[in-house]
Amino acid sequence: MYLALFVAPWMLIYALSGLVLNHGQFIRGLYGAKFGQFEKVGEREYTAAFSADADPRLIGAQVLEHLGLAGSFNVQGGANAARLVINRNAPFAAHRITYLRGENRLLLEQQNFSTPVFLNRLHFRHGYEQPFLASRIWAVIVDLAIVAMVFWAVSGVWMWWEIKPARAWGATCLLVGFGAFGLLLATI
Amino acid sequence: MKNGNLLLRRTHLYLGLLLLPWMLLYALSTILFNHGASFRQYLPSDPQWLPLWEKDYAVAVPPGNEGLREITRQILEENGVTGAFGAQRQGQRLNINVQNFWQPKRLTYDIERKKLRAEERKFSWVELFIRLHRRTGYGQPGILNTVWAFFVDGFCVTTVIWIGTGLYLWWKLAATRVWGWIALGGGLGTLLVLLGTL
Repeated sequence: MYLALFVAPWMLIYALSGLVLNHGQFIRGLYGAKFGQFEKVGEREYTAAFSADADPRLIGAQVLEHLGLAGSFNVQGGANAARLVINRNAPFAAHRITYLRGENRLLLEQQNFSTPVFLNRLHFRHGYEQPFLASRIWAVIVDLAIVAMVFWAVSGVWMWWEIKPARAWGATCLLVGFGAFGLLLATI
Repeated sequence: MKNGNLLLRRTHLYLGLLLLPWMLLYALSTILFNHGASFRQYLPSDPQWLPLWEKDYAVAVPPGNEGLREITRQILEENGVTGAFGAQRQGQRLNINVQNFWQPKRLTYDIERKKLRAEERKFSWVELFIRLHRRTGYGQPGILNTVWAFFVDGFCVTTVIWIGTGLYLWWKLAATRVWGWIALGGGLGTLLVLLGTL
C-alpha cells in the first residue's frame, strides 16, 4: 500500500497521458495547428572548435551547457555532419537546437507548451541511458511502478480468492478480461 | 456508509480482475522500455522485413493528405490485406503500415513504376510486447480495433478510479495514516523535485 501511495502520482500521469494517446486526433483538433509545434525562439553565434571526429553527444552536452539548458538530451547527426540537431527534453519545455557547424551558428526552437504534450513527455521518459542523476531516479521509479503493478495484480487475485462472496463475480470478470484480451491478441 | 464502503471495495476488486491482463501487459512491457539496452539483442536481425509479394498495380494516389486514408483503404481491400493501418506519402512513394500484434505488414506503392510491394515483419517477443503497449486510438477499420481502444480507455479511467478508491481505503485504515502520508508526500515531493531538475 505504501509503495502504491508513493507511485500514485506516476500512475496518474500514465493514466491521463494514456487517454491523450488514445484520443490523439481529438486532442490535436482541440488545440489546433500549433499543437506540439516548435517555434523559433532565437539564433546565436557559437564559435567552438571541435575536432572532426568529436563525439556528437559531447558536442551536444557542451552546446546545452553554453545555453544554460544542461540535462537529458539526444542528438541527431553524425560526428562530421554540418548540421547537428540536439533535442533537449525537459518536462515543461522541449528545446530543439540546430547547430550549424560551418556557420558557427545555433538555431533555438521551443515546443509550444500544452498539458497533453507535457503528460506525454513524462509518459515517454524512461531508461538508464542518460548520465544524469534525476533521469536515473526517474528510471528507478518507473521500475518501482512496474513492481507495484505486478504486486497489485498478484495480491488482487489472492485477495479476491480470500473473499468467498466475491468469487463468482470475480471469476466472471477474470474470464471476460482474459477472454477479450486473448481474442484481441489473436486477431488484430 | 457500510454499503458505500463495500461498493467501493468491490468496484476496486472487479475492475482489477477484469483488466488484469492489461495491468500485467503494461507492467511487463514497461520493463522492455526502461531496460531497452538489455533487450536489444532480442530484436529481429537484418533484414527485419521479409518480402511477401510484388505486383503491378495502378491506382491514383492524391498528392497530399486529403483522401489518402480512403485510397489506402481501397488498396488494402483490393489486395486482400486487412487490419488497422497508417499511410504516408513520401514523394513518389506511398508507405502503408498495417498493424498486427504478431506480424505487421508494410506495403510500399511506387507511384511512378506502378508497383505494389508487400513485406512482413520478422517476429520477436520483444516487439510483440512493445506493439501491445503502444497500440492506441480509435478510427481504425473493424470492431475489434475499436474494442481494443475501448479497453485502453477503460484501463486509463480505471487507474484513476483505483487511485481514488485506494486513497479512500487507505484513509479508512487509521493505523496506516502516518506512514501513508509519508509515502504519498514522498512520492509527490520526489515528482516535484524531478520535474524541476530533469
